[in-house]
Amino acid sequence: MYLQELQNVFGANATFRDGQETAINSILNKKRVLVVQKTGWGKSLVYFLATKILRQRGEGVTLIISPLLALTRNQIDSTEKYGIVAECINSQINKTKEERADVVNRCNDGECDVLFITPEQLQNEDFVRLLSQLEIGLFVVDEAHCISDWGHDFRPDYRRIHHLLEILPENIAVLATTATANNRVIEDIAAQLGECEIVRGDLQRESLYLHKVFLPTAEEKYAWIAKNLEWLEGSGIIYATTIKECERLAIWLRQNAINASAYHSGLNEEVKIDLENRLSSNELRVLVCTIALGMGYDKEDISFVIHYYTPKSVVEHYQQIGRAGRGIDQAVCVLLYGGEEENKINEYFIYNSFPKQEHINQVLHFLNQNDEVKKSSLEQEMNIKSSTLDQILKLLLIEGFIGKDSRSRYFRTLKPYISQQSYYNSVIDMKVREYQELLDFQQTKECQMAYLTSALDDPNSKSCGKCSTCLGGAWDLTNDVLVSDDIAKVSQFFDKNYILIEPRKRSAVTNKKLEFIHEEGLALSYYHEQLGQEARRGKYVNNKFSDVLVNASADKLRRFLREKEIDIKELVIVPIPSNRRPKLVPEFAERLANTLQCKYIEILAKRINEPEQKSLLNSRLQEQSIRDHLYIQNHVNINNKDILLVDDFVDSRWTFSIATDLLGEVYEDITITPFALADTSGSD
Amino acid sequence: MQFTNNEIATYLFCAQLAQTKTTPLTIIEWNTVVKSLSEQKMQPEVLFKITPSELLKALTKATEAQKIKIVKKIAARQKLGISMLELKEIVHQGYGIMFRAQMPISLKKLTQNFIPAFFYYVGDTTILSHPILGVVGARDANADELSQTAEIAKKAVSNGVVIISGGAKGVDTTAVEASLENGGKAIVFPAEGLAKWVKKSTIRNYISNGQLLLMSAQRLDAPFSGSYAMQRNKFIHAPSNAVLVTSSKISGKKLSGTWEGVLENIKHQWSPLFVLGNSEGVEKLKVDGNAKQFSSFEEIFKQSDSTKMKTQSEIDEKIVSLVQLAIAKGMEKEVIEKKFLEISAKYYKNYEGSRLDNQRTLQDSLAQEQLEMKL
Ligand SMILES: Nc1ncnc2c1ncn2[C@@H]1O[C@H](COP(=O)(O)OP(=O)(O)O)[C@@H](O)[C@H]1O
Ligand SMILES: [Zn+2]
Repeated sequence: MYLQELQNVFGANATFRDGQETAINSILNKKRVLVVQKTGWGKSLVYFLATKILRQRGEGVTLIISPLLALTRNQIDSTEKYGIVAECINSQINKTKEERADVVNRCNDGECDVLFITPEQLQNEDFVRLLSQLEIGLFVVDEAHCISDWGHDFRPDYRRIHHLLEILPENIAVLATTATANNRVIEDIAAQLGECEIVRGDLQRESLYLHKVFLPTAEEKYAWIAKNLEWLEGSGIIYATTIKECERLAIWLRQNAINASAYHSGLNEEVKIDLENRLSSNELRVLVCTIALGMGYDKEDISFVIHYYTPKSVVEHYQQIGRAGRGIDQAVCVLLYGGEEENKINEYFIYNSFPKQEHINQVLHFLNQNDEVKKSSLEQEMNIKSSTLDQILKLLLIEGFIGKDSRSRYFRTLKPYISQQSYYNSVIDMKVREYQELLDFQQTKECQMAYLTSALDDPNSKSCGKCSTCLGGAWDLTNDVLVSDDIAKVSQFFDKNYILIEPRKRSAVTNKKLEFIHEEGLALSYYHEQLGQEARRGKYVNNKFSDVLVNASADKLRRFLREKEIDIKELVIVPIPSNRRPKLVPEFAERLANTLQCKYIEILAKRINEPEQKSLLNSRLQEQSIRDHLYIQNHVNINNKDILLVDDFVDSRWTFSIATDLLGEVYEDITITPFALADTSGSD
Repeated sequence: MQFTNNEIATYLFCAQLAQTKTTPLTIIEWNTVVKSLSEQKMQPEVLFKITPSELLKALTKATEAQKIKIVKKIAARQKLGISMLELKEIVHQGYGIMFRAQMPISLKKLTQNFIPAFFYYVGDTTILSHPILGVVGARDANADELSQTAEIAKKAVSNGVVIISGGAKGVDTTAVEASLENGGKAIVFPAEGLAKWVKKSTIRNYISNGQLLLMSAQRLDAPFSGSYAMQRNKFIHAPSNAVLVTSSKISGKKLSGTWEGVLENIKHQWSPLFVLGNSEGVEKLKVDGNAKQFSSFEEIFKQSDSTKMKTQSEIDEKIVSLVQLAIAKGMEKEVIEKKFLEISAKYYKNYEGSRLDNQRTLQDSLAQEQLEMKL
């Protein structure tokens, strides 16, 4: 029926792949279609060809919601082949309101046929207002598993898509596509689409060579990665869950002469697009990333995907390895697993997906009692962690229980509140089950591809004959033998790699710049690492920090201070006081001073009845509490000195920053460098 | 709240949708469209897909000038489906949309040309089917007029009468507050969009308690508009069983909103007028015999109530005897039910539009309701 159109693009011999013509036909009849087909099947062909025909019929443009940040050269080329024009709106190429309005005008004037936007943009009210002017004929949701799988918690942005699907008039066709969905997800998407046709094929990818390795320590994983990046060819992606781990891994790789960069949600959009482009153009060899890099990213020749941590579900895992081997015959996907830590991190993510009901109630109650409220008043009124408060507000906004006006003030809507707790719990239960499925994957003796595709309910799931399970001893795509020298190098790196303490620059109470700011400081360890756990035992079990900690601290500080050109002989160590454990830190600090052979002076003290720092959940309360309690008790002269402030754990950094502020006000020409045994941030 | 295709079409072509930079159909244009379509057994949902030439042909009830305008406006919005997100999210935040099919009989006293295609509302819409006292008056009414107004509003509560007003400062607010504070109910048609009202926690409380209903034909974030303030007068006068005019100027060079509303009511005979105080306008109404001094609720409401009760019970009796007759004749239960629904549907069409929707398809009733606004 549309063969002629296909052949106009792909040549006289082209034929449709199974299901493509059905999908196009349904779209042209303004039906709703869900396509579940593996990467490379030709999903974009469906919407590009359909767009072409719709445009010939005088219909509006195709709007594609895709997690893709920017169009790649590749995609622009491919739309040219179809004789249609694609554009996207993102923060890099069309930042201003005018530029964006121009894109919409071009679409309405027939100069552009396909518009790509990201789901996040749908959260922006101005943007939705602009999109209201767009004349569309086809609405496409790419990576549609997100409207089911993540839609409700990690990616609340997809909730708006759900709304659109409920209200879009029947003269607009809808296409949802995904390469990764099990039956549950398919049912869920289909329910959201309403009456729809499902085009589903098998998921097995011929180009992927799967492998998994048990490596229970960070040292072994780092060593394996360094060794195998020499072994593997081409460029690739390493998934590592936390931002800190991504950054540390990227440093490690660079140190091993591998051109790598970290990619995570802490970066702004421009930087992310730049990194994606640099990987695409092979300027970078490896991106070490969190799930922030995901589905939209499309490079033809990704030849390896390595998982440093086990992902949270089969859907997520398959999605991520699916980035590999799109346009090449062979790509290696390796899961590194083992160790307590990875389970802890994933469980943390799973169980903290939703805020506590008690906190939600607090926020709602306050909004109920008031007209319009700024976020800062909410922070002041309630003891809720700032990121949790953000999460609560976002959830409540999405559920329609609160609104936000153009001046960023929040207000309660008239929608009666129904607790979402049982729903949240059911989502958490489901996540626990899905994570378990991947933990079972670690142990499985089945073909790895068969395991994954059958977990995705692929009816044609079968053994692949190329994974490390199928091949057994014949597997030679990686080198899994690590010698003690490999591991020693990592230990050395961990040792030298500084965990920095950045100063706070602005008061959370007054929102003014702080007058005195400390130097970049140092933490000996992360809380979850061995030394961090040694410090935990010292504080909570033995009430004394061990010599191991004193010596490790001294070693690391010597090197660190030398690099900062601080003369240890002139250094003064000042402990952070505590009324709860008055001896613990001073005693340690004094031993450290003896080991380093520098001065030791107690200057600061605390007023009584200070609440425990970790019980205060947001910056404003934390800073205020420290300001209320910390003071200079002992006015010795330390003008012109370099001071090392010593504490056990650092989390919010307010203690160091306020202590600096106090000292800086009294003494002249001093520098202050903070030091803590462990960085506990993000590990509560 | 799920919407039918006809409702989405109504909203797409009649809502303000300022963000789309296009113009909605006016009430009169919309009526023309619906009448034309229904003559050809079509419903508003066809507007999504209709081509300009098909539409031109279909617009049998439109003048030539109207045709051009309507075709242009519809073509400009046909493909703007994304803008319907607004409708979804309004409802998501707890607002309601009352299309014509759902409007109660009290509003339908307005002729078709005055009734918008839909109202935005928040609160309990059944308040509209209580006995209603409209309260209108100047913003700058004097203390005496205000205290009398409050007194009457308070008495309304104990008589089971709800207050309807325009939500302006002065008389409007005094009456509504007196009713709400004494546990009564009220309906307000503000001159600005509803969003601003709903942000106030006291307002939300009254709404959640089921005491207050806010309604508006304007988009939710609309600022105060003088012309809409005039337009909404009819929404206050028409549904009222009686209207109390507490204080009014007479329109001169500068139009008085209260006075214009009152004149409109007199012209269309929507509801009897009562007055208090001795402002310029009030005196004139009395002199011309257009209004009576406010006396008591017993006097004003009893009469109309008892006649209503009587007809109601007569109908009830008739139904019972008819059903008995049918059973006696050996008709099957299902047949009786069906007949009964058909007949009562005809009787109560205006009355119970929303309940009927369960029996007939909503589309069906909507298209019909659009037309049955005549009187
Ligand atoms: N019927 C077809 N005939 C020829 N080439 C096709 C056909 N369908 C898809 N392709 C090509 O296959 C490749 C992968 O298609 P694409 O749409 O990118 O896959 P997906 O979006 O499903 O991952 C593209 O180069 C595309 O042009
Ligand atoms: Zn296999």
